[in-house]
Amino acid sequence: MLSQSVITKLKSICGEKDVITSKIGMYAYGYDGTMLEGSHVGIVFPESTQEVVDLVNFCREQGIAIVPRGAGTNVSGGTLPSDGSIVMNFARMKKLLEIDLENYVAIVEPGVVNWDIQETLAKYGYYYPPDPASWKASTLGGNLGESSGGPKCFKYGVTRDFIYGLEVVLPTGKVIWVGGRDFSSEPMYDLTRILVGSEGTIGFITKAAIRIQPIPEAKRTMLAIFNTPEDASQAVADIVSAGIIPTTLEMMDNLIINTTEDHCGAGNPRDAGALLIIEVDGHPGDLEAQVETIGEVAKKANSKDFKVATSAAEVDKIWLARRVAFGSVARVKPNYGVNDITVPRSNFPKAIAAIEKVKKDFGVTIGTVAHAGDGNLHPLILFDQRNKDEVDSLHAAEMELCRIAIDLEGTISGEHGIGILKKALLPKEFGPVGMDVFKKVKRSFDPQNQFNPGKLIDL
Amino acid sequence: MGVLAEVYEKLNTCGKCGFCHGACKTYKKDGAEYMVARGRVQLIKALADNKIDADSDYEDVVNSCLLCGECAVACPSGVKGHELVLAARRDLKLRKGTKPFAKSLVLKSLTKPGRLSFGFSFFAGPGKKILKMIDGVQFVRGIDVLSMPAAKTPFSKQVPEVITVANPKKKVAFYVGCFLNHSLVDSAHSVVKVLTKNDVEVTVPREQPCCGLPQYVYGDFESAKAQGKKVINEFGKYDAVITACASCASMLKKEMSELFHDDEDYLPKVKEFSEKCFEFSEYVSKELDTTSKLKNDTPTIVTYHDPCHMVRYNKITEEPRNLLKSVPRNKYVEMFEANRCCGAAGLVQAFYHDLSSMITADKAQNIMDSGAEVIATSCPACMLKISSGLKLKGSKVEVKHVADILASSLRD
Repeated sequence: MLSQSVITKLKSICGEKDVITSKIGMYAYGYDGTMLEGSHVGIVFPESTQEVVDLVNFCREQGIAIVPRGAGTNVSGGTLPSDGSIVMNFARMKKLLEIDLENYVAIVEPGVVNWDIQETLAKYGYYYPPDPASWKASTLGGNLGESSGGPKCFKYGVTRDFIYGLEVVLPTGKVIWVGGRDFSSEPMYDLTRILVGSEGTIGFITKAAIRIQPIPEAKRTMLAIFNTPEDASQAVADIVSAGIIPTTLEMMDNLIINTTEDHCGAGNPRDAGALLIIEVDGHPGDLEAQVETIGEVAKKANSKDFKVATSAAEVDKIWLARRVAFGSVARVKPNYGVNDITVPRSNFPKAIAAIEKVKKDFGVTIGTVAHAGDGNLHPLILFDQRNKDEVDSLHAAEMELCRIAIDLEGTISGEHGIGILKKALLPKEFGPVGMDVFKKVKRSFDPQNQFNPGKLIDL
Repeated sequence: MGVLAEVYEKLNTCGKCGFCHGACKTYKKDGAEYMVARGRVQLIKALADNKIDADSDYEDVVNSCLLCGECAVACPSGVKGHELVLAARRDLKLRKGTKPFAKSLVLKSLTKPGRLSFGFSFFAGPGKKILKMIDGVQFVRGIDVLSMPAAKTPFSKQVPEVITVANPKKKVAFYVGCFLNHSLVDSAHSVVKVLTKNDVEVTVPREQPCCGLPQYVYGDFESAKAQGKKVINEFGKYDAVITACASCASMLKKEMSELFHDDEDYLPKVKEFSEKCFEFSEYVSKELDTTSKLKNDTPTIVTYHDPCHMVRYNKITEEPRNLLKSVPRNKYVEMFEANRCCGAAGLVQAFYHDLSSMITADKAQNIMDSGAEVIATSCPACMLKISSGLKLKGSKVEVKHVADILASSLRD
């Protein structure tokens, strides 16, 4: 519990309404997108960089740790509060400060929601490519913390690839601007790329200069149905080998095809082993040849069916199943664990086979959707959180999946972050020397371990 | 756990993904986790598990929900946040009664036609005179009270009980609803005009009991059921019942069956009744051919706002739009976020007016950005709230009921 004098001081910094210590507040900020729960002593909502600075300074003097948070949609426990900490919610610091079309830059505050940026930019014919599935909810600050990806990241890259520069409040309370404003190369250590994906452990981002670009003139959406996931993954490899970089290359396996059919009857064949949703975008004149090549590749990989959408309604129909994929599995079990292991594309068929083995070895039900283009897999492990055996099997299977990813020269997290859930696996992926460097980075920024302690690495 | 036990399984279905954050207007404006469906659902579950108390902060969380139903559309796991909030309101009602007194007074007055009639009549006369003498009360809690129409005589007493036509092709009863009966009387006249000009004989029963929705959404199921039975007693004998209020329509067509789900004996009667209830635009589109009779010389740019009870509760979206498009020389434009809540949301606008007015301001801005000269909708509560929101922004865009637009295009 915070003392009355501390609460009074916090309120004098960010205002009466921006400090919450109510019982419901305590409860509602004790969880995030995971099943974990934590406790904290209060919530503050800064609305300016100066307020963040004052809060950081005051908390440092008081020895209070700070856990930054956006919408709290992450699935790795990165925003879960730690005992005695204050939650710093950036949700009310959400201005879109500047749109500079000439230089393809927008300057935004961390609490702005990804989707709200997209809607504003769309009025000018522009967009910001990183599009995590949570984009209607998640804040840009959260996306920066996790370096989020999305369906479009195969062609365009993840959050890290779209950041020119950042304004950052350091644990010392000092403010620095890292990177540029409208260019991406500069001398000295690339602090921008260290900060993006650091999950609020070394600095709090208070402004970001993001790269925006014109919405492509045209796109074509295709659907390919396969008898087996192996055929589908062969097609993925062949499409890229043919020199085409689709905007999205999404895969769904048989279980997901069936749960989505139960959910909304999208019209996909229930006996299919897997399907691919393929989208290409660019200049209208370039797309026909690409569509033709992709059709030939799919045929060569034994596709049962290959369709090209000819209207907006058909595009929607193709995407329908993918959009409801995560929720549709609730029909099988009330809960699902989502993983984001990522492997080199060449090892993608091996990862698919390994998931099949995990199903058998651990007796778990898994449905897989994947951003197949960049080898990023989302095996959804279905379970009931009230059944302890199922929860245990879930955790064991998740650990096994991570080991598989590392063995296949991949990573345990393609886009969801490490938080608390995947911390234990980091040494296996990076080794003792790598972990030592990470610790030194953390210590050099935050020697008192005040910023999001216990996330990513333990000091 | 009380009544929350009935929805406990549903509370458990929330996987806490947070996808509702983009859909929830109260969260968008406030930014606090407990102002979104995920937060509300988790807190209701925490109360059921005895982890928190039903304190005043909890009551605010449950009572500030707009019940707009947008969270349910966004939820990948099929959780219907608004239905769980309704269960929580029922639970609160059983724990503590209807609080505060002001809310209890309003909900009770709605069930007493005499009191309602007196209230509006008083407001129309001395009430407004008194308000005019006090400086700075044009807007009370974001509502333009001085411009709010109030009938000295309710609509139902301004017209004969049966409004006959020369060659009746159909006969309907008009369920007027409190707002159209006592405040937006002109729109009620428009409804009658559209129907009678299309050879429909309209009966306006003298007794017009409140539909019970206001009591229902604050968990007073007993009063709501009593109202439901009164409505069915009065209106059950007609072949078709028309209402031009989206909220009343939702209650009569859909929610009454949910309210009476535990009354096996009476439920069939409710279902039979609901089958013959129609929202105005639904009935006109389905049963009448108005298009050939419409005339209009003044080109007007029109847009439409979907009341929550139309778009999400009853999925009526195309009918009002098609009617608006059918008027000659009207140019129909679609506004941004046409189907999102205007912020009125029953008594939310009275008890959480800052929040409500911020939501209305968005709606008003979207209307202005659309370039429309007239905003049409199907719900008197939305009309009043939107009209105040536009006025606060200094906009001259006119607010009309779909029936008003059709009526003014039907020449004598």
